[in-house]
Amino acid sequence: MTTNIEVNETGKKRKRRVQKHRQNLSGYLFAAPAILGLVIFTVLPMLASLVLSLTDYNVLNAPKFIGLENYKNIIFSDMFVKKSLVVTFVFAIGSTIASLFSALILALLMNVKLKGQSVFRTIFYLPVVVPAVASNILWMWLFNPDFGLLNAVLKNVGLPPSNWIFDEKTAIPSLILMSIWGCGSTALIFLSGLQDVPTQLLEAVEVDGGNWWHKFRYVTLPALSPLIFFNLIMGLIGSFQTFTQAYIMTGGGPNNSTLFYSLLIYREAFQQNHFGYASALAWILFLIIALFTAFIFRTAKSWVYYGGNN
Amino acid sequence: MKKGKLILAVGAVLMAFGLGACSNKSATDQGDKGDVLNLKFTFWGGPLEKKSIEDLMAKYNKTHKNVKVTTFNIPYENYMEKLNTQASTKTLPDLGYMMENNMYEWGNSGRLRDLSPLYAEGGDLANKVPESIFKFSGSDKIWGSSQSLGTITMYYNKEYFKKAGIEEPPYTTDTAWTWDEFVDVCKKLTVDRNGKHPDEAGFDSKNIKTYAVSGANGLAYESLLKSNGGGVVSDDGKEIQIGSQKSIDGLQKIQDLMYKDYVMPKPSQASTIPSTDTAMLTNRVVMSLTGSWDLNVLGEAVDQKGLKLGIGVIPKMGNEVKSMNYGSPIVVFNNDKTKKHWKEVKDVLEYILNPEQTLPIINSGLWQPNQEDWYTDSTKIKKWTNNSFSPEHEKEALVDTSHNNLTPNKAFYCKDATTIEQIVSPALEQIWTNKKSAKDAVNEDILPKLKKKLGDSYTYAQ
Repeated sequence: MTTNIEVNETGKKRKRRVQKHRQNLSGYLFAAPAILGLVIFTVLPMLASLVLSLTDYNVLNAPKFIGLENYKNIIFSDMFVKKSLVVTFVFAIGSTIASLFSALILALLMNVKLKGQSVFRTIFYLPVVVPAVASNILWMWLFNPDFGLLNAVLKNVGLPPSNWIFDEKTAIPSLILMSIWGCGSTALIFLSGLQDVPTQLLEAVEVDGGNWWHKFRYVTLPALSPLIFFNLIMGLIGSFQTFTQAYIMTGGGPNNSTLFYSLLIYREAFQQNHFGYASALAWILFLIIALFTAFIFRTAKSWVYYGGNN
Repeated sequence: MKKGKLILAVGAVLMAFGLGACSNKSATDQGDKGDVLNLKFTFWGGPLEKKSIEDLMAKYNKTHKNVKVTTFNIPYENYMEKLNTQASTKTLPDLGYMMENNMYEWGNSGRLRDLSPLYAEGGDLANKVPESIFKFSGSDKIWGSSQSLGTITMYYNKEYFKKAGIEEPPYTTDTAWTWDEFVDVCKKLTVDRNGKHPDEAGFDSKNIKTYAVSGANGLAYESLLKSNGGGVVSDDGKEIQIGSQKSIDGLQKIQDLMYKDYVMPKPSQASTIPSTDTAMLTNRVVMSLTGSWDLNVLGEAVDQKGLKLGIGVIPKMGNEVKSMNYGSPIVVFNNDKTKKHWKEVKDVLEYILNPEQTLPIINSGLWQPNQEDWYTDSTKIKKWTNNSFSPEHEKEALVDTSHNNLTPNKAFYCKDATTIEQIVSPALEQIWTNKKSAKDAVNEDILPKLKKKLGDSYTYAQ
């Protein structure tokens, strides 16, 4: 009797194992398109570019291995890299902070219970849907020193006009201003977070006699911190790779003041056919972004608050 | 059972994906079908150019039963991306446009066929304008020539001259304005919102209603420097000339047009002038130093909006008028098919490069013929200067100047043209925005960088 049961038990186990195995297999199969996509279109090209970065490669001839020569040239003798890095850093940090800040304010406003709020939410999200090229052209008109809307506003409040993207000094600040315009999706993420802020905590502040600022500073902000963290990282990564604004609006000028790093990579690769060199440039950008992200992750412990953690 | 089916389905989709990628190649790569030779031609260009090239090749296909040319219109911005991808996957077209920037690298890498025998004396393309041929200094090879000429010229609004009571610009090179004469006329043409001219007391340089001229700091600057005896690179491609006194003087004179004489819009102001035709129609600008191809839009303004268009020769800075040529090359890609069927490929190339065949584009104002006889033979000249919008004296101002006063473009003969451009342009922007004088920008920004990058491969004019 007992042996019979045991046999039966192991049979069941085996059946279960087979079933589990099958389940796993179908799971992998369903995930396969995504995994394959990542491997074929991201991981392999990245590895290829890493290898190419060690070569002299112009696409037209076979790559020639030159070791770290490209990296050496970039660090020690390239005339544009330094300026381009500075430009990219200033823009990345400026635009990320500016758009985080405006997105937060926008989200707070969109969280107010108001008639027709959904209309406002749609309006603020609209810029995200507008194609990059179209919005760039639109902003070129706004920035127009002679009859652009921005200078008209400045003139009406009695301020001197600016040359916006046509002046070396104001080009990057102008592009930062423009990046704020597209903060709708960040604001939407904040908004979803705002609606998750525990009301009992807000009420507790009220009971303790706190005002709106206390509520915001001690409850809302900590509750939002994981989202701020997420948006900060995504924003930085995105803005380090800025390309279209410079490609369409300024061409990197005036005097290379908007020569974003990605534009430099593009120029080396497609205008000069220096694909090996451009790959090396790209890897340097990748390392910088990785370091930056790691740094932010490091600091995150001290300011990002996850409910449930200590 | 259900699960099994699902797995099968997913597997099938994945396989279809993989197979699809494979079969794609064999479909497009299928070469000759029967006796018909299939050739691929890639190009860029707006709607007009697209239609013209497509019509041109359709006409060719109709009259040549043994060859079928298929055209591929690729957006200008993505052209080199596409071609580089095709090069790396060995699927390059057989003929096509090529970006000037990439000519040297591609030719030198053996991807372009050397066409020099065709351009040599007695060759089939020997009658092309020399300045339209891409021949890099230090090499005998020719990797292509441009489908058209595009030369720097001067268009202007006749009506404005009439109203201001000023004599219209000269249209022959031997009567061309000297620089001082040109600046004098410019001062008479420029007015602020109160009707005052730049040399009058109380002139308001911040509120200028009409600028005399535009574009001297655009493409035209190199033609002007050449006229002054300077330039960026010497015609033999051996000397960097931007550091010469004559070049610096020339650059300074152009800066002065904006910041001393106030007769030309500065870059920030120029950005508010959307296009030459609107600028002229609204009296924002009277004369425009620009490429001959602007006749395409200006011609439309003549036909539809009543613009009274004039054409004159650009002023001379030094002894002689110089007009630089622009234009994109057409090349033959080096592959087995173009080698094996060279006779047919050559025939297609000649057809595309023949002004007779591209007359519709030429007569839209976009192109100038690329062949010598179209500048000397009066019946041929009439074929392209008799349009409804053709300005008076086009024969002298455009045809003769292009024939006698052309100066070659460094992109056609200097292998480092792109590198030089990348260093020179940002520094020029400093001159055009008045951040630096011409002398300082050249000596502090341009020369040190050029010397660092190019070293001893060039001599440097002082």
